Amino acid sequence: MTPHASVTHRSAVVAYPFFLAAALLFLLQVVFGLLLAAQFVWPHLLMNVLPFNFGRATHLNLMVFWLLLGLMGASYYLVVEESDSEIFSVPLAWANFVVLLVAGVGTLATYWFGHVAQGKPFTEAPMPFPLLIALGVVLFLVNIGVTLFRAKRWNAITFTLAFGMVGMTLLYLFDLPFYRNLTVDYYWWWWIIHLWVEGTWEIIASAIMAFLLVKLTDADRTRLAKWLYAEVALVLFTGIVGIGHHYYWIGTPRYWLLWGAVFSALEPLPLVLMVWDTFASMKHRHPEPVDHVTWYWLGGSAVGHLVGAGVWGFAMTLPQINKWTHGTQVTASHGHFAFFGAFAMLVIAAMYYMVPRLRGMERYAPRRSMWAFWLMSLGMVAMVLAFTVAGVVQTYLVRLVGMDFMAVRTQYVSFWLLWVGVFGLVAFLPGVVAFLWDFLGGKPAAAPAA
Amino acid sequence: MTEKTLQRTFVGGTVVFLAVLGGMTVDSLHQVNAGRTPPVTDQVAHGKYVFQRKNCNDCHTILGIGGYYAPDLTKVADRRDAAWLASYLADPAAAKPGTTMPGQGLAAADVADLVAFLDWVRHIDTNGWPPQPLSSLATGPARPAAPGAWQARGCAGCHMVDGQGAAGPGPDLSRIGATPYDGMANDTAFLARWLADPPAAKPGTAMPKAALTREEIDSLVRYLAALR
Repeated sequence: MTPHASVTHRSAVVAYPFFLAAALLFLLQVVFGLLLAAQFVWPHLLMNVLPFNFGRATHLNLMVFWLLLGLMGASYYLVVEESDSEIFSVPLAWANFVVLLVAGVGTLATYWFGHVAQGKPFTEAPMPFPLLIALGVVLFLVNIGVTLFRAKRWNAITFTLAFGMVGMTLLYLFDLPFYRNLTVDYYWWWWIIHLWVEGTWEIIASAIMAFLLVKLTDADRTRLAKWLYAEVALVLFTGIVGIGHHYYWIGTPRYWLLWGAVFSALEPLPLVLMVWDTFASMKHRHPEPVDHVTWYWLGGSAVGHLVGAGVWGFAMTLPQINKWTHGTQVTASHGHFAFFGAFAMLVIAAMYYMVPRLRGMERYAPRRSMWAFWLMSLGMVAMVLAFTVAGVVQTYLVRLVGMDFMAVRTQYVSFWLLWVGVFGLVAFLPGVVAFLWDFLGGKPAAAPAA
Repeated sequence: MTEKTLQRTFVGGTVVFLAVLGGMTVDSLHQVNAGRTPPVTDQVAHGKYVFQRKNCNDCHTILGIGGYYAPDLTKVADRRDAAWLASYLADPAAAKPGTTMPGQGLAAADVADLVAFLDWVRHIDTNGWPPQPLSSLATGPARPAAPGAWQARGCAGCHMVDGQGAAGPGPDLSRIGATPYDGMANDTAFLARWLADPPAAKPGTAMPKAALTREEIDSLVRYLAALR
């Protein structure tokens, strides 16, 4: 593969297999999502072959996995450019990739053919795969770390990226022991789930976003660095104790109702800053950017992050409301919106910037890419709205009226989940296909008129 | 502020907030182990292991966390007695025809441990979650209270009363005292005979014969007759 001239260091090409695997697994994740929606409507579908619980484990794990691979690919590309040096070891990057792939394939095969898991949602992978995942991530950290230390080119972007990656890895270690007490187990499980998605992943995403903003808008680096530190500081200052909104009802002390409410009410603050910063950078752009596709995904990610994580998350975060909505499809609506906006759109933005360059062109012809953007974005908004109605109806009937869970699920929730599936099938899935088509076969954009 | 100052604020502040969370963690886990959850026996711990290995949590929620596909299990042992839970876990389709829960092929010992785990979970102090439905508060005083046998014998596992309980396979009994079901009588004498031995009263019925005591039958008959 011959990269474009703008890729100054050859070893950046090692990002490509990470992106390719991420893109293909994204498609697989969506296919499994459609299967789950179908099982809500037809509960006997594949009931004994691929039961809902293992389909859901697959859907969730693929999401974590493709986002992780995408963030790693983006990090390899970014670190090479920001440190102005080749990556420490290309074979090590390949080893990192292969170990993770083996862990991923092994985990899924165990679900599908063994119907065996270990743990709670998102972290179902049974032993020994968590050890392999940890090994793969450590290989990645060593490679990135040595590259940065050797080049001695630390800046705000590389510092926050490394900070987030180290934090993410350390938190994953809480997955390894078996906890005898369910409450204690969930206590530490939230250190992984919450402190990932509302902590370290946010930091990694902010670093990648800052990198893309520099590339797209040529924004002033000093200004951007200050914004970046302000944002990640606020993410952690609100988010660390904000973990309390998961400790309302799991057996933990009552004081978490107050601490969780106060800190999570502040959690949207850094997201507002991020949207402000992104659009301010775009306003002061110089020269006029030509990579509209990446910009759309980046701007879309900032907005999706704020609405999906900030607004939808805030809507259910106070204990007075959460008491009723906890354990319903309201959570699923927030989960889909936030993960797509905050992380999926950002990783796709990074791919739209980096993949064409790795394949030897500056950027793709934008027509199909814009179709991908609108189909996925509008498809996800429609799916989230259907999930939200399902959740509100369910909250009302199960929690307030006191109707039986299964009666509500089969008679009311399934109707709205049918719509989630329909929007996924007619809008979101074609968007993912357009994106993959671009990824593998995109043609270079015509040079801008002089 | 310079970039360096901001970086130091970020790192320093993170350490401070992690220390706060660390302190709260020590206290929380102390309280959890000191009485907010019952002591964990080896049987309960093994039941939890089975629960995880079978990936129950990706269909069922427990403490409100999980798959939103099947009922929350936090208080399931309040709704069903241990014998019913054991028979259902051993063979879901036999215990509840038409169920969408796949058979798990559990060994008898695993079933017993899982039931012990589910019984343990209901004693966790969850700060009042899940909340009492508002409808039960609204209709409470005007409606007869269910006797202990209603819960102990798992009646709500198949029947619904005032929107609470299960939507099947048994009929909704909210008005059984006023409206007979399926052409059968609803006077107290028939109800007592029915509860003592349903298949004898109506051959082929899906309702199993429960070994009810005389007192249990009396209390259930009084309750059902008052549901008007």
